[in-house]
Amino acid sequence: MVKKMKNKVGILQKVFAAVTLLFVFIFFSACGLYFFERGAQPKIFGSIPDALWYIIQIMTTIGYTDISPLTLGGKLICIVAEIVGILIGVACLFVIIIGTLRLGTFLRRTRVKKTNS
Amino acid sequence: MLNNVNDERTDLQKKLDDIIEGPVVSGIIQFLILASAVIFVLETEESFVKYEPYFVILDWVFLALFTVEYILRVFIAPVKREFIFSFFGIVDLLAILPALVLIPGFRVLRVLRFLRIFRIFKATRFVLAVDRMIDALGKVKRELLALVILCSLFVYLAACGIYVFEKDVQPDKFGSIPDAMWWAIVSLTTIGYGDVFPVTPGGKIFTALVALVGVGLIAIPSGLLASVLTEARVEDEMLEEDNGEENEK
Repeated sequence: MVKKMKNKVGILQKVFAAVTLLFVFIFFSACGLYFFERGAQPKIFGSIPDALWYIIQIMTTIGYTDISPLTLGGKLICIVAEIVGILIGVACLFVIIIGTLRLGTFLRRTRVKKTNS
Repeated sequence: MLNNVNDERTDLQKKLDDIIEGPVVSGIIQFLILASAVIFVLETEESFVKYEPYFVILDWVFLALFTVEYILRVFIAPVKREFIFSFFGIVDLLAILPALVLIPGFRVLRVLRFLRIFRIFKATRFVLAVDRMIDALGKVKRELLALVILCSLFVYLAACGIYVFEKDVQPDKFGSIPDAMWWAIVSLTTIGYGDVFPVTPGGKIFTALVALVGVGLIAIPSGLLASVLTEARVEDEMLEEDNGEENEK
C-alpha cells in the first residue's frame, strides 16, 4: 500500500516537472521571438504576450492567422517550437499506445495465473 | 471431378471466369478504374478544357468496357442473383448504371465508378488487414464511444467558455454558442482556418489552455486504435508461432 502511494506521488511529480518544463520552453521561445521580431513586425509582435499567443498557436499546430516570422532568428525559434509541439503530440500517442499494450499483457498474465492456480 | 459436383457451369463460363479473375485482366481492369478516376479529376482543371472531346470519347470507352465486364461477370456467376445483390455486384452496377440510363447529371455520378477500386480488397493479402482493422474497431467500440461523448462535452464546454469571453467584442463571430462551437471544433482539430479567433486577453488565455488539453484529448482515439491494431498483429503472430510449434511436434 505504501509502495503504491510512493509510486503515485512519483508520477505526479514527473507530470508536474514535464508541464513546468513545457511552460518554461514556451516562455523562453516567446521571449526570443519577441526579441527577434519586434523590430521587423512591431504591430504583430509588439509585446511578449503577443509572442506567447503566437507560439501557442504554433505548438498546438492550430495557426489561426497568416502571421509568420520574418527574421532568421524568429524563423529558427518557430521551427524548434513547431518540432517540439509535434513531438509532444507524438509522445502523447506513444504513451497511450504503450500504456494500452502493457495493460493488455498485464491482463493476460493475470488470466494465465488464474488458470494455472 | 468430385470437387466440381456442385459447379453446374458450362466450360465456357469456367474458362471466362479463369480469364476475368486472372492477374492480367484484373490488373487491366484496376488500371482502367484508376484511369477513369484520374480523368474525372483532370476534367475539372481549366488547362485541360481543350482536351474535353478526347475525355468524352475515353469516357464512353470506359463505360463500354465496364458494361461488357459487368455482363460477363453476371454470365459467369454460378448463382446470378447472388452476384447481382452482393456488395461488389451492386458497386459494379452503380458504376455503369447512371450513364447507361442517362440520368441527368450522370457525369457527376461517374464518381461512383471509383467505388470499384474496393475490389482490390478482395485480394487475399488485403483480406487479413481489413479483417484485423474491423476486429480492432470492435474491440475498442466502448472506449471510442466514451471518447466521443467526452470530446463532445469538451467542445460544448469550450464553446460556452469562449462565448463568455468573446461575445461582447466580436458579436458577429461569437454571437451565439453554436457559432462558438464552430470555433471550438476548428481549434481542437488544430485546423485553424483563421476565420474566427479570440482577440481578448481572457479569450486567448482560455484558448491556450483549451488547446493544450484538447489537442491531447482528440489524439487519444488514434493512440487507442494504434495500440489495438498492434496487439491484434502480435496476437496473430503468436498464434502462427504456436501453430508452427504444434506442427513440429
